[in-house]
Amino acid sequence: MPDLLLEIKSLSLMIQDVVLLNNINLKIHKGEAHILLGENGAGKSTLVKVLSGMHANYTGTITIEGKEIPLTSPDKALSSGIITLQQDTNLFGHLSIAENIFLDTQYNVQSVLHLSKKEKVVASQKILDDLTILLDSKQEVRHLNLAQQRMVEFAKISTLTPKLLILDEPGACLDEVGMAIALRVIENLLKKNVSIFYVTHEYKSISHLADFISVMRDGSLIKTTSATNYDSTNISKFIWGENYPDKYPKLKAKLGSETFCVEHLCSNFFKDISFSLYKSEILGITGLVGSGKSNLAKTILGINKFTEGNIYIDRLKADIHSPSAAINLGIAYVTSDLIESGLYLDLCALDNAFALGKHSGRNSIAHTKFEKKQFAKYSHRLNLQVDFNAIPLRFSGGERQKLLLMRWFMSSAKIFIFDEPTNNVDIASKIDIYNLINDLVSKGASVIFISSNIEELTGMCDRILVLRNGSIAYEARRDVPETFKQVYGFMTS
Amino acid sequence: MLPMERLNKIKAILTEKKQLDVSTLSAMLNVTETTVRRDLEKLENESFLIRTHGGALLCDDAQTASSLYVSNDVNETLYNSISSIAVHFINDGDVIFLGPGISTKYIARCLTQKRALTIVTNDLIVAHDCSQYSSNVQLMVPGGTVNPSNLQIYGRLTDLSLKSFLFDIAFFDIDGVSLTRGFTVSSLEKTYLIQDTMRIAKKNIAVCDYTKFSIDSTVSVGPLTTFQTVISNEQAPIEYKEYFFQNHIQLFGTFDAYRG
Repeated sequence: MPDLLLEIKSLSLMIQDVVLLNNINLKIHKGEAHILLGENGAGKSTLVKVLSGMHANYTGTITIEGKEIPLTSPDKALSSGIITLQQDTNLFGHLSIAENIFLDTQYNVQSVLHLSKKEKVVASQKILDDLTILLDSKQEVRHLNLAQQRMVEFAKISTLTPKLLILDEPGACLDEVGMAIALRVIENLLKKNVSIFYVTHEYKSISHLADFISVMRDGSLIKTTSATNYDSTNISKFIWGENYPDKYPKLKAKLGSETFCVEHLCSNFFKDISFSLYKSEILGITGLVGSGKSNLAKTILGINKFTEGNIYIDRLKADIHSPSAAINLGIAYVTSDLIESGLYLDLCALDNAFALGKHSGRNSIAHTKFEKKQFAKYSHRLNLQVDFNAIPLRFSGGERQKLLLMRWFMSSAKIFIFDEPTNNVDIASKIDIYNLINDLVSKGASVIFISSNIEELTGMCDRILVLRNGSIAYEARRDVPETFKQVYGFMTS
Repeated sequence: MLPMERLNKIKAILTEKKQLDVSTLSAMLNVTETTVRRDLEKLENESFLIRTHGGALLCDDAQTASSLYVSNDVNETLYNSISSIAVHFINDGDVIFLGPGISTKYIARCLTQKRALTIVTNDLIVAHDCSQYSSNVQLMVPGGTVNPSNLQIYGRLTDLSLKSFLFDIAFFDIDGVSLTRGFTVSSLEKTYLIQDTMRIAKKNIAVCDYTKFSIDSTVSVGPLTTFQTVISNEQAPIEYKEYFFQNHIQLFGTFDAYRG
């Protein structure tokens, strides 16, 4: 047995009364590839963040090479030899590839501080060429797409020798060629006795390198097993547990006629997307990061342009050339993403509630009696306990979602697009959001529910479309229960 | 408002206030005074009231005879919203048990849109409202002893007659829900009835408005995991929402925010 590198003992993390991690125990040995599997929302990324020093207020102990080290800052993690490749790429857009590769020097084998710009370009070009990455090291990173940026990160990692490398969903946006390069980098690091902690949905691609596998669910580590004992047919049972979607309050509503339809929609991010949405239907859309699901939503909302195809609302051709056109046609957009949501964090709740285009003539200094009355009425209906002049910056995730919903409920929207509505939302507000969706569909609205949490989708949706590399790979239906069980496989394989 | 509904409203108001004048009634019900007078005339024919100049007096006999059937429920909107969720579970042709209590009475009132339903209840008030509002369903009442204070039927005869059914869904009105004592109801016989009926129903649903949370009633029905589905209001306390979700129990709320 090789030496123990990292040991986590009874690690727990609570933020605002929400238990994110619950009594985690985990060991990683030197030169070992340890794979962490789990559903979205299982707590994988939270664990990664603790290990990279981004959640200082955890309880429990983390021991590295026999010494207990409190990982209270990203700096502590780095100096303990832990490097993390986060889910989002973390490169400097305005610097060149060469400069990005040689940015942190702390773990570089050779000292590069004295390298001139020209030498960096030559050295990094060699690294790229060795890895068969077809990029020019002089290029600025902001001109690269997501997959190319990921490749630059792997090129950078290949120059480093940390004790532990943590990768959070590294394959999410990579094609087969990119994945092969990434795996080659990982294999080389393993040969140098670097330990790998690989967090993923997609077990197959990394299976030949895996030594140990752990599975997380609902913030707990439920199983650790050696890769040779792993029975892949049981994968979904491991990840979901025995009784999965029953806890979701799915209200059966009778489906009506077609209210929304896209036909052969094409853009730079996806190709030939066709689907219909019916009155009172909840249509789930899922896929990995980079599958095109968020871009599809933005296209329907008129933010992104499409190159080919048509959109129909109530069987009439709809001209959605801008977000305001989409709003006028009755399309609402609700997301937990703060930047995309359209909430003004420093304006009061009342101004936010009345922020739609049709209210543009209103006087935002003098709040009218009518507006206050309307606000009070809707906050009661939405079970939202906030003051009308409070600022959303201080709201919880659930309160922000409800404020956003209030805005749309006061409009006459008929088609609601929810994009990851329950991310960063506490359980009680989640239940409220699910029940609010029930309220929508039982009164004849249609819902497009975009999420990477398959459990939530199988719990709430009537149909689920799985997007992969920009096209629809699978359609699952609630009335054919076997198809719902296939969603996970189609999303990842 | 339907005429029938209006008559019931007048009965309810009069039962409470004992006497009323026409103009107040017309304002309360938002109908003309002529309509109110016509309604009062009808009720006088039923000997429910005696008309006076410009108003009406409650007949004393009438009060004692029908007071249990007249609903004086304060939280009517609460119960209505819960029953509007509950009817989504009911399919045409189902055999349904409605347990004793107020919330189930409101479920019995909204079954007009359903076809070929069979409703079984041991609560005569539920049966009364079912036949009055949803006369399209087949209504069955088990035998047994009637408790005069609440018009619910219990006893060995009740158990025997309920055993012959196989229910598609059973709805149970719950009197108290707490994290420490689970689901509780007000009497031992109600608990036995719920526990026995749960065994012969394919789906069991607990119905309790949010005021029932963090309250212990007299007798325990079982732990919080007894029912797979609970229908309540969105105002249910946060800790219960968390508990139910983490224990794989569906909790339905009654949001009424969207205006279509």
